[in-house]
Amino acid sequence: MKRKIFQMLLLGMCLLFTSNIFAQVKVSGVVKSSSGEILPGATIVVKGTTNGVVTDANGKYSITVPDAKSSLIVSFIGMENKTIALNGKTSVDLTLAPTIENLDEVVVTALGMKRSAKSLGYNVNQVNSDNLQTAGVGNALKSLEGKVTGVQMNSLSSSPTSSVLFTIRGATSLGGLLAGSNSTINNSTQPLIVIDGIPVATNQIGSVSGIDVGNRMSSINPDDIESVSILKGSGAAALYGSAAGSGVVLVTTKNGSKAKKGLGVTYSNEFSVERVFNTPPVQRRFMRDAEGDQAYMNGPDGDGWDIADSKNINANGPVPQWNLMTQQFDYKLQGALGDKDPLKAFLQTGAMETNNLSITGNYDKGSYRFNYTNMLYTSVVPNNQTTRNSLSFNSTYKLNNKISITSEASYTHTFTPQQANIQGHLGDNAISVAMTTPIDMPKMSVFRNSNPWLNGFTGIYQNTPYLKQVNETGNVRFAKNNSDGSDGNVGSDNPYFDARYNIRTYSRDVAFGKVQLDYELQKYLRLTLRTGLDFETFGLEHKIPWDSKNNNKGGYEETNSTSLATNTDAMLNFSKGFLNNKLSVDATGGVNFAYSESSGSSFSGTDGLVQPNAYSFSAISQNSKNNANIFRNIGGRSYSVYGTASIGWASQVYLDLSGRNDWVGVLAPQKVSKFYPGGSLSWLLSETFKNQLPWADLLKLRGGIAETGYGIGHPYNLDTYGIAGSYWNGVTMGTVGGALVDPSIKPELNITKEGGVDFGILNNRISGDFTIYEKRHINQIQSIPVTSSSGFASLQTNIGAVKSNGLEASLTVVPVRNKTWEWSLNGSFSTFKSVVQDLDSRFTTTQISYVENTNFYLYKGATLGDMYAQQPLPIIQSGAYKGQVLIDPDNGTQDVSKGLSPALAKKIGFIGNINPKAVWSFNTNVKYKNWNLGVVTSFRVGGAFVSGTARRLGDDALLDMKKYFGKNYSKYYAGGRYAGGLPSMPDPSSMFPGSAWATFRNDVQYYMSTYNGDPRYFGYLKGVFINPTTAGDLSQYNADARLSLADNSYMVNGANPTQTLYFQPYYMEGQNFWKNSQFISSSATCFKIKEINLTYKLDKNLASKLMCQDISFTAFAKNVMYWAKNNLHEDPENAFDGSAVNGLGGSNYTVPPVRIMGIKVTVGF
Amino acid sequence: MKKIIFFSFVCLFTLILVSCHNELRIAEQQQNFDNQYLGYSKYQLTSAIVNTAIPYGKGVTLEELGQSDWYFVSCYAADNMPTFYLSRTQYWSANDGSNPYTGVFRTCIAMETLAKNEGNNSYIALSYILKCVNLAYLTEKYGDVPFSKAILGRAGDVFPTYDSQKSIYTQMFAMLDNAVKILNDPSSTAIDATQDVLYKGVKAQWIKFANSLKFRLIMHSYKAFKAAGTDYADTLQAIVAGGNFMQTNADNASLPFVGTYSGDTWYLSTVSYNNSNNFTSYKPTNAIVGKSRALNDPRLYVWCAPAAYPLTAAATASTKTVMINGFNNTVNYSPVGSSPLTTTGADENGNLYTFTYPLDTMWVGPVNVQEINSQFGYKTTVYDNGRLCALSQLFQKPKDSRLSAVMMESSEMQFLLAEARSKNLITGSTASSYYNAGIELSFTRWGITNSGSGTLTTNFVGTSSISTDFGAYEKQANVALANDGSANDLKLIAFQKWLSNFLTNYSEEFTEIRRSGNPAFAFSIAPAFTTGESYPYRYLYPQDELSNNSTNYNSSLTDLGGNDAGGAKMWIFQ
Repeated sequence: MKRKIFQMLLLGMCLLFTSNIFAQVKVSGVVKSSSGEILPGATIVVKGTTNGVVTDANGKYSITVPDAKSSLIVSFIGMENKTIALNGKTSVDLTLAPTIENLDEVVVTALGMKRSAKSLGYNVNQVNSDNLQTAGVGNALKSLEGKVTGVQMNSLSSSPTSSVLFTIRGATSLGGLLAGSNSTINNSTQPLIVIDGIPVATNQIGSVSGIDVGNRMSSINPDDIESVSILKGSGAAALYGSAAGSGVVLVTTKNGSKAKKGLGVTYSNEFSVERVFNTPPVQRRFMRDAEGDQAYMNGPDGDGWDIADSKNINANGPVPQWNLMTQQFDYKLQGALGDKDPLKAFLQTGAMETNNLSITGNYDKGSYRFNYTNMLYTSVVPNNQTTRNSLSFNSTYKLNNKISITSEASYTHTFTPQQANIQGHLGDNAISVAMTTPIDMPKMSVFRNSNPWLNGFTGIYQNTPYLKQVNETGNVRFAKNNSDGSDGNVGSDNPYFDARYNIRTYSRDVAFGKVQLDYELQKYLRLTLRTGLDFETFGLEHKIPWDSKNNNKGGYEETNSTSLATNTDAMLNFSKGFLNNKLSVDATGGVNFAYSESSGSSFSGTDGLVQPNAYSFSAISQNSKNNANIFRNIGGRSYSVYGTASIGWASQVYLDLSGRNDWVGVLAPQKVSKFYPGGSLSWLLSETFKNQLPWADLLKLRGGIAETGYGIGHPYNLDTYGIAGSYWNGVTMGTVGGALVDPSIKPELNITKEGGVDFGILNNRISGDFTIYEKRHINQIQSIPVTSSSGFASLQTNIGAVKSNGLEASLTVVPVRNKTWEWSLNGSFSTFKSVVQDLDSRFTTTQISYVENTNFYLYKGATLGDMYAQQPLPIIQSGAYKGQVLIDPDNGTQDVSKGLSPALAKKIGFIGNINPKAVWSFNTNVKYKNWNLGVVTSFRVGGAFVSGTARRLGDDALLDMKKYFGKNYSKYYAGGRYAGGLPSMPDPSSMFPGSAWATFRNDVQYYMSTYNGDPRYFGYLKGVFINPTTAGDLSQYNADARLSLADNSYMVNGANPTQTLYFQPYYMEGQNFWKNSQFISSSATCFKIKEINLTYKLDKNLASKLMCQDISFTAFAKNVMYWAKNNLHEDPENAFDGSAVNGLGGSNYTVPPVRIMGIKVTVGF
Repeated sequence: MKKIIFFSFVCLFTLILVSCHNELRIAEQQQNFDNQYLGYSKYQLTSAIVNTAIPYGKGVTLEELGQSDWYFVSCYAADNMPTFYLSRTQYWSANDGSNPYTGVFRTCIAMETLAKNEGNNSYIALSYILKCVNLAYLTEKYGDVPFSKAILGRAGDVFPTYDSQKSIYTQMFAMLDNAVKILNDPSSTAIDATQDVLYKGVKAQWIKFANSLKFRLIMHSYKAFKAAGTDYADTLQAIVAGGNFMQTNADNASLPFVGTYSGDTWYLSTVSYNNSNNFTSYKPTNAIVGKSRALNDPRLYVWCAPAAYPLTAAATASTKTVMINGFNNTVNYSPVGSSPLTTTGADENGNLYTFTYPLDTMWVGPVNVQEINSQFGYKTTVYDNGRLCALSQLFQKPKDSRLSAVMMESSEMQFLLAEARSKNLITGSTASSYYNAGIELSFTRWGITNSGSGTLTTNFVGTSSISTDFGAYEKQANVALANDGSANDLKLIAFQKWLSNFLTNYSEEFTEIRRSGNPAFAFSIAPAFTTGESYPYRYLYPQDELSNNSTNYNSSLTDLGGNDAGGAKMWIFQ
């Protein structure tokens, strides 16, 4: 029965396309592929007519032609078209060859114009849907990773909603640098996202309530994407003028026009699982408290006796230990209880399932495509989920031969019922809490199976083993008897409490719509009118329960925002050949009006709720109510005129010119207008010297220059006076505001020059491209910090220019290509360096504090992204001890370099650059009959990151120092508990004799009194200390001067056993990690196998037996393997420090590397 | 039909393209201009008062940061004096971390600008007075600071030069004179009584404040000016002769707390407006406990609570409830066991000795604030360092008539007069009459009443309020002045000022202790617990200046002998 319906459907389609039948000659046959596969659904048209049929399920066709001399054109998706002259034959079997990846591909460039890649004078990276292996990541951008040369992409986690940070051809914005720890070097350089010609409202990346809530791009349904083009900043990008400074990402969505004729239905299902495969090593050897009698207390830390040392561990006999199951204190001896790897035990297997249904119609009068996708994602973090539903409808209707109307609408609803904070140390970061579980804490299975609340106190008292106090009168939890409610007795959260009850729920709704009219006025003249809008609403609520570690009276936060952008264009396109088509002109001119607005409200009631579980505005404190924020921005509006022309000569030389004038901003009228020009030239040597270069399929030289900008919207340089929302005893207070703006401010520009070669030889068996570029980001408008004694924290002005020089190269080799096999290899390389080229002479060296106690320095000649330690390792600067570390008896190395002058801190504190020196990628693809195997790898070389994870693990004494430092250990330390300690310790009473050494003696005797002076636990820092008997009154010396005292002011630590600063473990190791970022920085070099995909396409005839057109199976794996040059197994590409995607180059308890594996089945009817 | 579709499309399109251009831009500009006319100087006055008094008074919480006036300490932060020498704040910072240049100074300038437009000259006078409080704070912490060229960013100057400390004092004197002149003018405008949260619009009170402040600043800089050839004795005498200075506690420049949220609540309050702090970790040092005990100073029993877990020689534990000044305190005597609790202490001359914890006492403070954490924290199982006495429950309250943000009190003015008289800078009266008035103002300010019994109260256990005979207190050997202008008299005056500034005016005491060199023990004890360092004299300039104003920063250093160090002495201390 089904088969009949299907045949009738095909028949119907046949009828549709055979409108003129003159029964003269009947021709029939079978259509097959060159590999012998039967091709049902291939289209056969009589040349010069509209007569056509499609092959049936067995690949057979039958067509009536006007006469026996007619020719037939046969086409099939993925195959080369073939024209065959009948020459009287009536039975013709046809064989189609698969389309060879052709170099004459068409790419989408600015304004949605389609251009032959061959003719372009600049490099456009376009990734088509075939290569967008979105399976398993649920985010179109993430699937671009490793496939676009010169574009760096970073994301925080494997969640499909996590933001993706783009860096196109190197970060050049000083804004990123100046924002310091408040932002990232990349966030202010996010490209303009344009969907089908309509720029989206906002692509802002940021955190709300401490979590990454994704950006606009994470709401684009990957199944809707036809292709993604990246305009790296020259030529075409100039057509986006003041919005294109950071490059443009053009997304083209699928429509029905490329679908098979008639009705088509495609269904796909993908299912993947993900699992953490590498976690930082935590020590499982030492207990967590030196005294061994406070097992119940406070948060995780590990500073104690060796587990094997049971005599010392239990020197004080049984101690109270909180039992999660009975919810009472057990008085018992201490010992190892927990998991070997608590983090792995905590994280679960995540899963993602996506169902996609698309229906297409492709007819004479037009086409349409309807798509529905449902995605459900469960994270590796317990209780974290996301769902996304996307609906889209595109249609094109041809009013007549000249006029067509296209309309598009899409709607995406993303809903995340719970997303836990996964950044930062402890607090409500369940990952951090789990990772830092000491060995004497219960196994995760016990945590998981216990009630996160005290029985009978749901929502009021947490059930956690980390408590500050035991009730002195019994074995009950302290707070349970406290009539005031929560008393802050929680030392650290139960990780499941954070994952399950600290709830951040959000939803994002995105509506996108577009109407476009194309009118072919003449063969060579086309008018396009287009208007579209992008509208986004976002809402988040954060419920913090009572008795959370960070908020013992809970809290409630809410954020709502909407943003709208509309864009309207009128364009006239002229395309004509002159002089016998030797001269071709393709020109477009247009006008644009863009308007955007936004509104929002938020309040943050993190300082407590009046009642437990009262999650409402009315339950938060008056202070928080006063600080609620409501805004509405009548946003940017711009008027633009633009034009572009591509002039070609004999298909050999192409000159592209483009320009745009924008009227934008709120400055004085004469500053509102700005012209952005661009131009490029390409020369196809392979055409010009066709005869001399017969082996060259393509050889092109190209070069271009363009100027793009960054939107301007500066406030006035005026003081504003207002009334505050705050009161003193009911009396209203006044406010003073108004940013400081340089009155002579100029527009900020990006001038990119690029040149390159594209080539393809030996039947395109070897092909590649090479590009060098120079990007000058000038007149950068930034709020530069000025000294606050000016009355202001910052001045908005043109502070300078950054020049980025880079190189991109790729090479593809196809060693094997025959009927059954095709094997291709692809390698690419990119590198860049961004240097501050000019700087306003008023600002010589500016120090900007960045994440994890690092600094950036802004000065002429600075390399963007260079990180320096805020408190560097204090290195003696002169004399006999030059190069030695200065040690302080109280603080080790911690505070000695506090307050160093910027010049000296910069000199001794260099760590590395947050960007890689170079990125290599190696991809390979093997096709065998219906099988296809693809592998994508990337190799990131150079750069550095600072690990906040190491800092806190070190400070919590949960890091095996010997393993962490490797061979560097002996550079800094002698002895130490991980290295077996010291052979012996001197008598404490003989230490540092004499009154001048009293402080030293006190300190060392105190350190030695811990661990009973057991030498196995002691060590010392290598370096020198200041001799108080010879150095004089130190209060006259500031931090700089203390590193350049006279030689006799220093003594070498360890040289004399009774004058050695022995440190107990915490003072020797953990404390130094706290401030000194040099101890916790690592190289960011890493190699990754990013994805492996294996696809099998069912034979057409087999598929048709199953009443389908296409059936394919894909097995995929992402993030398969990974090697990194750091001892913590952290992924440098995931190294973000902030509460969401910011602070690139610093890591801070993020989700460890996650491996994703899954299958996808696609069925087309 | 097709034409209709086409043309309606074109019309719609044109409409979108040309609509609402000008209207929107006007609306946008209007938003910016509206803000100019919303404010009135009176609202800025409230902000200026609150944002001067609250940060200034907050000095009381900074004692633990190692600036060591030897008042009290936090058991957890311990004393950070060694790092104090190397610490820089990121920005110019008042005691609460607020930035006077971007904050209260701009508020004062806004008040002046608005007041000028309104013809409201009294507000200009008030701005001068409040600016002086903030400016004096800055210069006395750092030395030279930007002032006359500061806060000119709007006019394009973002690299302010530094004013010498000498010129700053001269400018402050001029501003205060100017303020008094305006306020004394009967035609000067009225001050809004509601918005003036300090003096309810009473100009006479502001005049007293301005004169007292000027007196204080002259006393701070008297020696330095004299060395530079200017003798301000006549100016001091003129203030005394005028009689318009703080004489009663009603004249105090202090802002009582409101106690409704963290921003208007007493600094140490534990009542949760979520300014949670470890109140129990604050321990008055043995310097203040021991010295007050020796004088039977009644204020000790207002300020302090007995130790919660004192050690006893008795074999068994016992508990009793002790009422002091109306607050009930539970005292749990714990048997000392076999070995006494000892720790390292430093005597008044800075010599280290072994301090043995005195048994059966409710009144003992730490003798070594540096190691308090290890010496009292770890050696007991008692969480709150209960061996030591604590601050009174009074200081846990969010508000109380005795709890206010103090800029200057009349007791201080009396001690300044006593000093000036003792040094013969002013004439008339006697040093001791000013001095005794200062002591009594301090007593009454803490709610202590004069029993008139003729004898000194020695036992305050069981009291619902504190009372003693003021005269008997003043007659004690270690209190009474000889009125002979001797060094000992000056020492006693400085010591009583030090006591009266406890928990009220740390910001002022920071300068006073360095200027007078008294109480001397602070200079001895503090360095005994640091490595090779004497006593800190100033704050290091903020990192912001080094980074963003380095040329001017570097040229300012000549006045410090080229050295931005904690031990460098600014002009008034040289």
